[in-house]
Amino acid sequence: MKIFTKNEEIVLLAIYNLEPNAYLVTIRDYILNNTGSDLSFGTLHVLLNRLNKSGYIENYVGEATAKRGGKAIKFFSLTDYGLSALKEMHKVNNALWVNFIKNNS
Amino acid sequence: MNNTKLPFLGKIILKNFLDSEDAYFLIGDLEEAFYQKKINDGIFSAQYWLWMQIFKSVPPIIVDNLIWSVIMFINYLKLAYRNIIKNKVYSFINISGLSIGLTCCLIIFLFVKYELSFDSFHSKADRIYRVNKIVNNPDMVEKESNTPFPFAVAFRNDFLEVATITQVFTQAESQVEIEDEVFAQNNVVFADSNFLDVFDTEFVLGKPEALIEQPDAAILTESVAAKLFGKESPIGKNFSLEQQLNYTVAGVIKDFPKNTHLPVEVIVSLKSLTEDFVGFDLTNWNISHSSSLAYILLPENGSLENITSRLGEFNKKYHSEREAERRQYVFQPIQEIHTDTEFSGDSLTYTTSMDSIIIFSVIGILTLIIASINFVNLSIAQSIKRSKEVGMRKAIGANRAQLIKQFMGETFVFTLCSFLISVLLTNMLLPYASNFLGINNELSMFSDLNIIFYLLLVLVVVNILTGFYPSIVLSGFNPVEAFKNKITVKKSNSFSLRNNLVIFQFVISQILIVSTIVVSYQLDFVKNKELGFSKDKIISVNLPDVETSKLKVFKEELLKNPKITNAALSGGAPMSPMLINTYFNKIPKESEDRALVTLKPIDEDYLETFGINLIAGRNFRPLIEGDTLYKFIVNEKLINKLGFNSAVDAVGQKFQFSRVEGEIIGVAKDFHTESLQNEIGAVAMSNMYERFFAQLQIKTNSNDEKEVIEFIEASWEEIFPGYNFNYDFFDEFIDGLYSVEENFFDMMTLFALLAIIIGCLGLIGLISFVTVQKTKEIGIRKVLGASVSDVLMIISREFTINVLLANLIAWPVTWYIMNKWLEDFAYRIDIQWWMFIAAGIASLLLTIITVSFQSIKAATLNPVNSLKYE
Repeated sequence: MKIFTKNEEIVLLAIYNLEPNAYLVTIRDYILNNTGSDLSFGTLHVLLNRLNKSGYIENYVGEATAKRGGKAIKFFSLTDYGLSALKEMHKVNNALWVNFIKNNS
Repeated sequence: MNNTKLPFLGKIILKNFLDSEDAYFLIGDLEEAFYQKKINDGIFSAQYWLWMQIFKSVPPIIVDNLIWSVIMFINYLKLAYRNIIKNKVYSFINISGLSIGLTCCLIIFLFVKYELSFDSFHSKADRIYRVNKIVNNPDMVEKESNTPFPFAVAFRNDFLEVATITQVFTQAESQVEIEDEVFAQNNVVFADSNFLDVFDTEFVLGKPEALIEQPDAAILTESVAAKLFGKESPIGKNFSLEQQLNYTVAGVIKDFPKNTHLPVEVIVSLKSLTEDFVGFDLTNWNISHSSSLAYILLPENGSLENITSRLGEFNKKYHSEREAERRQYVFQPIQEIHTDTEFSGDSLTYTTSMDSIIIFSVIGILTLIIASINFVNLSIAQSIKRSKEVGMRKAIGANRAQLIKQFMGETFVFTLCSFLISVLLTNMLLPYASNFLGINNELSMFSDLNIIFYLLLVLVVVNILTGFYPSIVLSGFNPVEAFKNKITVKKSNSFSLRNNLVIFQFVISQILIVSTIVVSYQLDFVKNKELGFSKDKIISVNLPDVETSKLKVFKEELLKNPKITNAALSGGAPMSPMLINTYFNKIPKESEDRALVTLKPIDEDYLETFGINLIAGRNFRPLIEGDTLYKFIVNEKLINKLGFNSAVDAVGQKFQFSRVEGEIIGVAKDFHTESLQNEIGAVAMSNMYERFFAQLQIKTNSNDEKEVIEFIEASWEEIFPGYNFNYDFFDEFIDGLYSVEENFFDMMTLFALLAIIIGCLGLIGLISFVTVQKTKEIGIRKVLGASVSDVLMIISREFTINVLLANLIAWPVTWYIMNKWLEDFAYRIDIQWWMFIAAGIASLLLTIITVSFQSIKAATLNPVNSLKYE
């Protein structure tokens, strides 16, 4: 099991929360609103591409809508593999934080 | 939704870095966010945000691209490695061919770089000039690197503010005595104190001022100091030069680099030079001595114009009107001296003509081109085998740029391999190559770190040369045709270019072969031409500077030995580097014009020793004290120049020779006085110039040269104690006259050989490929009744035609080049037609042998097996 970088973890969680409406613009807004980090389109695009190639997420092309001047949207969703990887990540995180939580809550 | 489209420029930027699908979605996303931003924050802030987004997006995308291309590149390297392993023969041919070519090219590059670096180490090199002299005579123009002895002092007075001049008097070979010990010492230089201002010298011990203050000051280089005085400090030690001049060591300098035309080892003060020592009048403007040199240093931003504009005036001031008219002083940049043959004169080191540097460079580049062509040919031939791979890659979505990248990458692996091999090989061969090329220093690869830059440049150029074309051809295959195996040798257009490349390769090797034949015949011709004198079994002994009577004692002493048949005192052998040139006028003077003549100081045994025949008159009689009339034996050439009708008429006639009047007592048959590049010149020999005797020529009848030399040396020790004994074999000296040409010939032979080897390697590769391609065709032909020889014919036809065509192209080119080369020789062979035919037949035979080697295998295959193939 690969350990995700923080950015990858955030992107995966954002997709999880946004589904089925997860695409670049919404993911970016979600991250900006929840973490305050303003990722550029390029950074996010590269991140999504990498996760996609590694099989954690998949994409599907939505219907063309008038909203974007007739351009279709590329949506992202977690794969089963991605989901299990997130669960694993959660366990790792919990294990790492456990003492901290115990002492500071 | 108006005005939410991304600006055109932004789109272009993004599309450049993304593939079309990604760009489409990313642009869509950006536009949506931009629209939202515009509603919330207004158009200007949205515009600003958009551009910031685009610029921020580019770097991560580029980094991402790079990561992927590295991954792909590693994959390409892996494939290249597998390909090399899979086709071992092909890879071997390819890599070895390219390595040989590259090694040649590297060695030549180092050679040329060294030769062009001469004298550039002086920090003021671009402002230093040597003063040369041109004298215009009616029948010839003399170009000499020397200046009259009083020149420098006069020049310093007249051009004080315009330039610094330093005067130098060189002694190529001399001897140094310390108490009773005698050392041979080369490159002793008498110099004035300006020498240290003009040239770079680095003092290890002592001060430069000594050269000004003490007239007996001497400055040694470190290695000479070590040779003469060992580990002791040499400062203050005394030594003498030629048993005449005494010096005190005042300083030690670092050794001069070897790449200089003036390899100074000992500097002594010019003030110590005496007329007795040099043997001529030091105030005479009309005497030219090849050792008397002058160099000027221009001030920074100075211009030669300031000197040349006033030089006419200067000339008139110091020369007679007639002399000033025909005489001219010119200034030659110091860095050009080494490559200049016109003014070479009596140089202390060798000269390499610019022509031969250019020829070498061209040969180096040609070998590299041949090797590259070979590589290209083989790659393309090989590529057919890989057409399916290309088809498959294209079918699963590789674009052309990616394929080009892949094949360039593969070529890169090949070139890098060859490159590393050739660097190693060059490093190993350099000691031999330096020797072979006849240079005075051992070349080294990494003496200058700039070389790394050049090496990388060569690597890139070779990679582009060899990789570009094959990758374009390969990536251009149509996948459908590739799968159907429709790509064959003949159909594709690119293969006619391949043919042209093969022809070009043959043209080059053909030129080299024919040139080698011509050069070898010319060398043979000059070495065996009747010179007009005999050169065998003659030993030349250099004489010390002592009274003539002592020299005669030495001669008589030697003649007592029955193994020595003749001995003659002279200024030099008939063909000798020591030429005394002067002018003559006929008596009575019919015109003021003068002509050049070579003076040979000889004694009465000279003609017999060298077997020079008289055609009229008589030989000299031994000189009797009180003889004042100058008698001359002249050659036929001089008789013609003087205007006599026949040799018999000339005998007994008087003529004005330099400043003396002389009588012709004999006429000798013409003989050569210089190498055969030069025509036979006018020669006058006289026994009156005993003070110029410099050599004793000894003719022996014994085959045991060692014994004779031991005898001579023993007599020498007895009569000239304290002088170094040195001698030469005359025939070796004569052969050595053509060492430059001989070197040239060796190089030609070597490169012709290499070109042929590389070419043949290429042929083997090509043929093996063609035979594989034609397996079926051969099978069918055999089934239909073709014999083995018919099949051989078919396969070799293409190559035979190529060779013939290449010959037709090469012949006129070679004829032109070789005629140019032969023009350097006054006596030369004619280029014969059979030389071309022979070279043509040779290469044709070689081709056929190479071709049959592979094709016999294909031709003798059982058609059943070959038709089953696939």
